[in-house]
Amino acid sequence: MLSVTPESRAEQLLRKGRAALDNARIPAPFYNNPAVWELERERVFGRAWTFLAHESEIPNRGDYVVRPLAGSPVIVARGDDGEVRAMFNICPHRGNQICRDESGNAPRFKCSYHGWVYNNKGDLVGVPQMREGYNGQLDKADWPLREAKTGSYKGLIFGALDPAIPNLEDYLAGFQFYMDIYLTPDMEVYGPPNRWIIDVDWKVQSENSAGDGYHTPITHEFGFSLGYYPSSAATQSQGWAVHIPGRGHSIGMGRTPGMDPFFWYPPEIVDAMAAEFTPEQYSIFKEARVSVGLVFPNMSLLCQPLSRIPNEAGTRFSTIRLFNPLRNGRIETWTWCLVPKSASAEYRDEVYRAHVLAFGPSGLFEQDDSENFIHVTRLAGTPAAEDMEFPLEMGLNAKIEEDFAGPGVCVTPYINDTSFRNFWATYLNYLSDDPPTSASEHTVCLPGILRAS
Amino acid sequence: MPLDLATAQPVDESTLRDVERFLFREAELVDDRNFEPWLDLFADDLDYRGPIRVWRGDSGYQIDPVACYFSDTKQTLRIRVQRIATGLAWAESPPSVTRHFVSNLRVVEGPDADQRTARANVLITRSRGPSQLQETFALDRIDTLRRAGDSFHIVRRLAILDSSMPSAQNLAIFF
Repeated sequence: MLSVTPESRAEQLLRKGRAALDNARIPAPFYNNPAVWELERERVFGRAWTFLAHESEIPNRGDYVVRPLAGSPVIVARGDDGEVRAMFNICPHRGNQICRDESGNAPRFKCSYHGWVYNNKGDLVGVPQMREGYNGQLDKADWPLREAKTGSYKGLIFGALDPAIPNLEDYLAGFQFYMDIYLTPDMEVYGPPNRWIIDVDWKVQSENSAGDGYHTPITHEFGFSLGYYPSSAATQSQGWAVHIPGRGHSIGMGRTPGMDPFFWYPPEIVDAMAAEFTPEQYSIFKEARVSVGLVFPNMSLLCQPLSRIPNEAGTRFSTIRLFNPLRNGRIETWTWCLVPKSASAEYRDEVYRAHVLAFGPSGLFEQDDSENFIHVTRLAGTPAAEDMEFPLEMGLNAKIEEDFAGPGVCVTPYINDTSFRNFWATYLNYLSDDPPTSASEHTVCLPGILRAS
Repeated sequence: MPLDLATAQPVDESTLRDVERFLFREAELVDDRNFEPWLDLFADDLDYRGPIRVWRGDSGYQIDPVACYFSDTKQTLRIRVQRIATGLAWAESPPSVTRHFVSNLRVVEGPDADQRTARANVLITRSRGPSQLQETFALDRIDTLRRAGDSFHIVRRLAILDSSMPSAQNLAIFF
């Protein structure tokens, strides 16, 4: 007997999405749809590395922070053995939340329901009424806190739900070259992160962070009118858009002709960077005015020059941004400010103040962005958007910079949809149950889009 | 040294009334979006901060000494006002309608001889355009005031939100 399974809403959208992307378009419902969310929480967030914390947030044994890992809360702790672990904040006994803090330092965590106690390495070390209740026979070794897989790169701690995920180094696939611009010289985070919830779909934020130089002169036009930018609207488009094919990671680097190398970094920081960068990194990064990058799926890295007072000398800030999805159309945004460990207290404070003036819930740039993103998200969920497709065709004929010194594929100018095509193609591959394996097994369909060959 | 409000000397009744009148006037100006005269109430050496409140397992609620939602000087506060005036501040288009409720006012002498410290419970409601949503912010607000003629200047404002997770799409308003 022939049985026909009706195509689910998610499968239908996925099929439309793949067809649309071959024409350099993306269907609007991908910006906010519950069926898509159900699929992506399993197939994207279930299989990706996501950012959890910076090692400088938990420098001492016993330090911990509580963070989201793809929808589940984890305690990211430095155990008494000095190892960093990400342990699900769920008691294995009856599923109660064990730790109710945002951060702290503790040797042990005790569940408030039946009192099972775990040490900061996740071992079950105490069970009330062991003799009376369990006849002394419960094997504590069977019931540790469940641990997520972790990996780290230069202080950034990532976690993954899938125990079979390729290691972090393979996952980043060369994008570390560009991450170094934010992580050099040796960085730490300044204070606890800002976090707040907004009605924005994570993909709206991630796509923008994949390197949207196109929105800057419009969304943030106030910056030009108040004299905030060291570039003009006319030169804003110049620079590089680089993506790691099939992986979804990308960076946009805006450059201003004639700009001083590493401008607005203090000389001692430039010296420290020069000592650590490879010659290839140095040659590119010295010219980057703004660097906006995405570690797929939802971690943004941003470095921007800013003078708090227009026309006065400014500074550079680097920030980590995490768009933790709560459901379709809603995220909890986390922002951290990175400062060089070696820098003076005054410099670090100035960097933080520049960062918080620009980004975070009161940030002048953040406010503009999220206002637009809220409308995009809301409207993508309306019937009017059901059959809409958005163009991703900017830069279809972009010049590939064969001589570019960094890894990945580089196109110019900076305003370009190539990295967005890479983002969506990677995303749709994950949704299609085809997470990336090796780029060599794929062929380029359109610039930015790899397909299995 | 931060001033300990519990042990500091309360101001006399007439000064209390002066401070209350000043803070009500300030709230009226900001709610009326009468931003230029509102800015004039702040000292040139202003420190206007909204620190982050963090719940730590080992030490309870901590008002973080560095991390904040905003950290403005008189100049950057003025830039926020100028930005709204450009018509390009999309998060304030349409503009917010705010209502600052300033209550439970306590005023003490210090920390400097010419200064008073005012602590108030502040509730701010914010509505915007056609949206039916109304955001509410509850805060512990500690102002350091300096005598300026027959009025005051705000030298320092510490606006400590109760929530460590602001229930708002942004913090584009003034506290």
